[in-house]
Amino acid sequence: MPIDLIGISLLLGGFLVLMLLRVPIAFALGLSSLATVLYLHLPPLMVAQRMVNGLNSFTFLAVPFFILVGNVMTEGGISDKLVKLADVLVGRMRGGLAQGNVVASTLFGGISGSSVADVASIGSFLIPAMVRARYPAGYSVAVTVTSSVQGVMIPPSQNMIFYALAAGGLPISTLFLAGYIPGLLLGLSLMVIVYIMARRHNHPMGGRYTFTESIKVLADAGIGLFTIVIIIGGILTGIFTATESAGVAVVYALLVTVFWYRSLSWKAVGRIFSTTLTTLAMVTAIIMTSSVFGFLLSYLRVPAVLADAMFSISRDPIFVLMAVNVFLLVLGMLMDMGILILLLTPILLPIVTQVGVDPIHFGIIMVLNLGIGLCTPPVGTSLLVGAGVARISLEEATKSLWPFYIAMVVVLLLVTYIPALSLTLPALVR
Amino acid sequence: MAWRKRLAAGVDGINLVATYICHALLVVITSVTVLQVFLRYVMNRPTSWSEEIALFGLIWFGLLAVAIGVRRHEHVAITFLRDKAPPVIGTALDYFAQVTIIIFMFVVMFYGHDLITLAGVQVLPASGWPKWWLYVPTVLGGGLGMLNGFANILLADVRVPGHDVPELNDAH
Repeated sequence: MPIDLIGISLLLGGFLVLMLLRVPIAFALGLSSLATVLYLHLPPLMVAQRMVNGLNSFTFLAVPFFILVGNVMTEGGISDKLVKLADVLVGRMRGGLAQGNVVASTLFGGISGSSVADVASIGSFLIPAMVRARYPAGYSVAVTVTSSVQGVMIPPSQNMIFYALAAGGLPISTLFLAGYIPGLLLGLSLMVIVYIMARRHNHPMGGRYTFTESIKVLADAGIGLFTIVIIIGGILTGIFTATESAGVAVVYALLVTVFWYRSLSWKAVGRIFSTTLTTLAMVTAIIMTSSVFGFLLSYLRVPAVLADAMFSISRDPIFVLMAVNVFLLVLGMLMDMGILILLLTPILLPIVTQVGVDPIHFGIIMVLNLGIGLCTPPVGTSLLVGAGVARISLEEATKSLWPFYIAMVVVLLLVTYIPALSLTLPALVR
Repeated sequence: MAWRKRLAAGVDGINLVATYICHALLVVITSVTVLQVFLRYVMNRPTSWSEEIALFGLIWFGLLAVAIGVRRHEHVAITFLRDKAPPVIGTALDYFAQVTIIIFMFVVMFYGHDLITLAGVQVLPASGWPKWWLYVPTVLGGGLGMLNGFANILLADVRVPGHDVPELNDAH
């Protein structure tokens, strides 16, 4: 079958033009798909049908639940408790507040899959606290923003669910497990940078706690952190599916905030519903229209065409992965992470699997890579929120980010070229 | 102008109802999923209908939420060129975006109706609910999205999405 260049240009070109003309991305996807469907003489009702099918997935159902868990816990004041716990754990190190910032994000990442929520909640405690302790504002933002990327790596992670969906149904539980070691490695590498900077600039140490205080802080945060056990324990023991564990975690989060923390007002409930709806409106729109778009991409055999082009240069896995990583880093600077995962997975996955990359491994590479894009100007959402919390310009924040960018790219290279980092944990459990 | 006020009040009223329906659906979806676990482990009575009902709620929720998102300007867009362009062109693009939303929402509504007809008397395998119920929200959501697009244009309310309120973008 010959390649339909007109169809491909209509689909991809139409999408790009509409998107650049400020048409909301979900609708740019939908309209370019519609035009292509008409051009190909496919029945137009398949647009609506594919949209419904895109949502008709028990796997995707976990996304609203995980967003709810994060929102309930944040409204219930979990961030404050995690910040305290992190301070107890690493506060005595030099640059204690900065180290605590990284650790608090590691813990928060186990409850929420949202890097932006991490910056908005942990950051609103720690950025002002760090500035009060005489850390430069730009540096405070840099630590907060880069450590928040652990949120997308450490389960639960909405973005991994998007990947699983776009890859045509990979097991969420395996992807989640695969994310732990790379996520922790990222946190560790940031702590190394923070340590070096603390030595060099003689950053202060954090608070001192008595033993009883420490136990109290640990217990207080521990009750909230038990959510992690529900999510992962449930999946590991086979008691729940990922989606069910997410649903149970919602109920647990509600019980903890209402009866233990006693911090959930009716007003807060309203806010939880409202922010959840807002996030989901955006997410479902893109899930639905990208489902039509993705179908047309494979119908027009775009992945095969691109794979041929790529393999005409080289079939060396090291080269292919490097090229894909550079491509993703560049796009990650310009576009939203979730959208890129949904759009690019169907195109890139067939290419990398042909050179022997495991789909689970590639998911981790992709999520980490695009996670870096959350911290880069001009549109890195976490960076924008972090700079907003600190009330500083993007330029000022970006200046302090360089050492952290280097650490993140090093971790990305390690994760890319050492598959065992991602695949060992899932293999052990199986 | 009085007619604008009335239009805004009317449209926002409809969206408020849709918003409450979405909130309720979220509660239903969560409850059904947790109930599914409870029935399987505690009552030892595994269910097959529960997943279908939860997904049913999700589809209704999703299409209504997308439509509500049009009125609330929640759908992310790339505004780089628009911000660089002269203000007149920028504003023109803001209106153009609403027009594309209206067109697409019309298509969803129109063909959603065809899907309902096509589903006929089919039923969902586990719950036995009529299949065409799955496609009703395409008509409702498409219709509401169109209405919201028109309202945005008539009310000259064509803001750029999400920029000023950071917590709006917490999907990452």
